[in-house]
Amino acid sequence: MNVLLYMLKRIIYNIPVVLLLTIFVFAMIRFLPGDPADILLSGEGGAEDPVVRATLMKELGLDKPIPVQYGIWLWRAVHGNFGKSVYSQEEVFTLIMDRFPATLMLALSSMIVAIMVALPAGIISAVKRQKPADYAAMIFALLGISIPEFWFGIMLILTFSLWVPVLPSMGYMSPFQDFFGSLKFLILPAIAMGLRMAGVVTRMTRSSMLDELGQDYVRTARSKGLSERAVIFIHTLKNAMIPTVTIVGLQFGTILGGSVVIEMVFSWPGVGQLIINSILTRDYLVVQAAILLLAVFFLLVNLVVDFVYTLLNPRVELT
Amino acid sequence: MANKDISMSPEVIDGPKFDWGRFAERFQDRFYDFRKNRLALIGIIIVISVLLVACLAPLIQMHDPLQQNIANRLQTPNWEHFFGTDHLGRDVWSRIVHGSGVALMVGMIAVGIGVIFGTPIGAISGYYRGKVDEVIMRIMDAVLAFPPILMALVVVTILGSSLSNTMIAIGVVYIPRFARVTRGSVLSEREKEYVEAGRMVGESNLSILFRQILPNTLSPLIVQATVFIAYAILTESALSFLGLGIQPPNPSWGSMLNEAKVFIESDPYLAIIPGLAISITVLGFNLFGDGLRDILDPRLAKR
Repeated sequence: MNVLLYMLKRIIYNIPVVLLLTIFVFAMIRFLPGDPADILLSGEGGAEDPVVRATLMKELGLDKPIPVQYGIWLWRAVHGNFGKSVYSQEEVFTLIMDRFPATLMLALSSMIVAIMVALPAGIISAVKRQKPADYAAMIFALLGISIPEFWFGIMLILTFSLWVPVLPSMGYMSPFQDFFGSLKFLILPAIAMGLRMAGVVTRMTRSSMLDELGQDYVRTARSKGLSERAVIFIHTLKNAMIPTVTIVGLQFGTILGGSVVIEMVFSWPGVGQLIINSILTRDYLVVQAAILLLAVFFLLVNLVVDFVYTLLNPRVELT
Repeated sequence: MANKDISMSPEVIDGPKFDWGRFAERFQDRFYDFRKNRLALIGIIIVISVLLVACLAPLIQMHDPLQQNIANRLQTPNWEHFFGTDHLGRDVWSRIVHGSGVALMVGMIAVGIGVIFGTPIGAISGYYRGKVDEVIMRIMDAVLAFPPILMALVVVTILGSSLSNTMIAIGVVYIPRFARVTRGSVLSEREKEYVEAGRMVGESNLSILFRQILPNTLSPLIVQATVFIAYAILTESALSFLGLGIQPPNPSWGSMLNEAKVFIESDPYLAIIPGLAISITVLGFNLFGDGLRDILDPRLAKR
């Protein structure tokens, strides 16, 4: 009951945050110098047609006061109506949703890559503290948070597409079309995007494992004669995972942001690529909607992480 | 009577003013540990080297970093051009050297913007708590919901791409982050006795907050600032790589990578060198930040 109430509170807490998000994103277009109608029609492919302009003015209520404009915009946004792209004439919402699965697939794969590397590295590092394995893991983690991911991506292309041509340097294939074929395209961008998260999670896992290994219950478990393996995997790991889960959730935002750059490097047809191309073609309705949807998605992920966190950790204060 | 005794003590009347001497002493004590910490030492050496390169750029450069020479384009590294020349025949060594200044300037000024705006916001939020805190932190949460690069992209879209707008865009990203850090420290600091004492002698809230509490929260702030300089440099390079940050012909490591992309197969050194420059600089700030954390913030120190 308590847990449910807590979750409800968390959801309610996020409602004003989402509203503020929409205000920011709405304000973005109004902050651009010039008349909003001109700005929205200024992209490549935008017509100088007065009829088009009049339709847009009427649709967005551009002749009304700004709060009313915001209301109209929000009401349409809630219904998934973000208008039409000036560049491709397609519905903005469909345009984004068509590309979202590719971004999500890339983000999740890079998270999996990162966790698969980071958990063992962090655990070994804590258990073999101040041994060569620890130093190796820590240096790996430091490089992970220091190397720019897009440069790492370019280096991967150089190594695995040009020098040893085993993987394609760019492009995308839907996994429903050919699962193993699509993996080939996925591997390099997923590794490039996961690098940074791997570094962060390795450091977090190490420090929380070290925290837990110093606790009394671990000493008790050891003195009971439990094997070191049992102490680590049965007793310590579960508690050490709590901060790690939090950081994974927070890092998800960074991964979504990173997708903007990585998708450009690997010509990956996701939302990130769409945002950059739309900025370059001044297709602002698309930029506005895509940024809003990514941010809302990030909030949702954090909400889920919050719930997992409370389930994992019964000690957490439900206030 | 007890009350009178307390008010007599100058310690209590003034509150324990933030003591720079003690701060420096503590810093010196721990500096010994810093020297023992090899990684941190490497970090500080890297940071100082990059700073020196940036300051002495006109002396270290071999050629004008903007001088084009099509006849000499795409030379592989040689004695005349340490790092070769790019597609316009510009000397890559000189561009890398000058790029260090751009990276450091953007990193430091962006973080400076974050500190200047974020710290007071967080301090007020943590000190007054209640409604003020609620409202401020929700706004900060909303800003934090944008992944850093996206936030910077929004600002650059509004303001247009240029050196100063890149700094502003990245600085905006760090405002809520510094607000959070400061709020956290102020929340715990405001419960201490000296704050109560300050209030008893009728010091104003703002004076207590900015003259007594804030100086005591400096340590975590300095650590965060160092680490965020590393992130800011990464963000600048990403923005410039996308063509939305520093504009050509200014030498930025990110835009050099962007230009090198096309020549990756024939001239890989053009892409390798700027990436190494970014990585080493960011690594330096990360190592330095870790070392500072060990010195200034023993609670968070790695065991």
